[in-house]
Amino acid sequence: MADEYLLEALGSEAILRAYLFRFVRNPADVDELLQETYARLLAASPRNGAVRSVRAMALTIARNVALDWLRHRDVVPMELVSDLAALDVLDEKAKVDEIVNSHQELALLSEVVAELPARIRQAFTLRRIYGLSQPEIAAHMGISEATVEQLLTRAVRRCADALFAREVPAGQPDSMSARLRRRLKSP
Amino acid sequence: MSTAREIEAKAAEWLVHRDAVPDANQDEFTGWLAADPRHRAAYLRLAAAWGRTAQLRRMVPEGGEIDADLLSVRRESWWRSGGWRPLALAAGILVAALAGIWWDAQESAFRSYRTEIGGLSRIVLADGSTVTLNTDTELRVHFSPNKRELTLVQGEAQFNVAHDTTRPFDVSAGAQLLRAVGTAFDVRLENGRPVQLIVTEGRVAVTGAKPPEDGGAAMVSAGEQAIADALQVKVSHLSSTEVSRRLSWKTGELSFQGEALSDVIAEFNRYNRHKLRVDDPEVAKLQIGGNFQALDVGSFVAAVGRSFDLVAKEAPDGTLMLVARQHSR
Repeated sequence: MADEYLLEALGSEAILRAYLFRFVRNPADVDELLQETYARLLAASPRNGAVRSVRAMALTIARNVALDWLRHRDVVPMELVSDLAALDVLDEKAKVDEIVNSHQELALLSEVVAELPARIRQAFTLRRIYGLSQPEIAAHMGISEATVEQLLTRAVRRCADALFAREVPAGQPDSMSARLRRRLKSP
Repeated sequence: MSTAREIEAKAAEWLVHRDAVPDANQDEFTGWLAADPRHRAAYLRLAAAWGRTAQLRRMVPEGGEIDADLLSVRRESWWRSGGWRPLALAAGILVAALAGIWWDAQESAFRSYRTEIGGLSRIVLADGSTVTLNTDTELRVHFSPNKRELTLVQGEAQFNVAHDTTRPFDVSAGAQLLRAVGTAFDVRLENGRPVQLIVTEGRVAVTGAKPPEDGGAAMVSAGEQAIADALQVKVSHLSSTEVSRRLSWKTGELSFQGEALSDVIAEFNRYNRHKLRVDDPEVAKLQIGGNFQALDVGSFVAAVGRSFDLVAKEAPDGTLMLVARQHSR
């Protein structure tokens, strides 16, 4: 199920972003290539049975997306070779338990919500924490339902970035997996 | 051709609109999804994030009124912390007197806070102190002009105490009285077990039921834990990793480092109505390491099952029994 690949790959989004950034050096272009990577992942069907590592597959797709993009631009940066080598390293280290990615999510989420602009935060709090319906929120805040929708769309985009696009220090695309592995000490 | 940001904005619109009206514009929606795989990718990504925010419901304080500013930081850091008080003083006696009246009205009442099994709740007290309540916990709070008295009736709570030398911050837990001295600390009280205290900042004086000025208090400093029963208080040092591991429940997570499976299961059972159990003494002794979501028993069972070749069998009473695979037939 390709949808499942995408959902699993979201847990590696920070690494995918760091990886794509090495090709394009520009956050807006990373957004474009990441979305294209996810789109191709949806269409992916494994040739021989189960996929060993969704992250490795997503990284391979990201590389192809980036290479297409570079070809299109007729520019091939020098560091490409070392970037391709980095892919293998990531592949080897990609066996992070999926449970780990949701760690500290509650704390992270409440921080993200706390930092939202006041009205976005209030609408989101009423919807997702108290479970009020959108019309109820509109009444509670004294605004139109259309405005409630607008506030919530901004909230969900911020949450997605906070959950999936957590920053990885530049030049160390595997630091996150190393950190996560330390946290999941085997018995 | 749309940019990634435009697609994401549209996907967010669809998501929020269909959150309000589940079948809204079904044909238009499926058409949009099918028009470009990037549409579907953006939508799935946002929907996954939206779904995961469901766990924020655990932040709702028990029995409180709806508070749209529940997670606002500003209110805690300025208003509730008393950052306004110097301003009030500067503005003159009248304001101070009014504040005093407000203060009394706010604080002489008793308040009680509860969490259910699996609950996690953060409360801000009238003095700006914050308390995080772990699963199945009850805390009673009574503030008066010269005292801050709290009673941990059961469960576990982590306190971040607002500094106020004129009003001691006392927590009683079982037969113990804990007096905070400018402090952050965690107290755990379970039936029939000694009180456990972990201090992360400042110091806490631990005594029997008597207030510490009667002497005989054990001082527990940052980085130390105390285990106190009716007879004695045992104080020992904890490494900083150990401290953060023991307090990982604040983020909804349980962290183990070689504890016996039976102890790990007891810990999970604090958080979940669906209980685990292990009868085989050999299995009970297995050492468990790793981090798990406290409420995600399924992932935990799957992980230990894989690692130790265990299977979970449902017992007639509804508990899940972990047994070695070769004995399960």
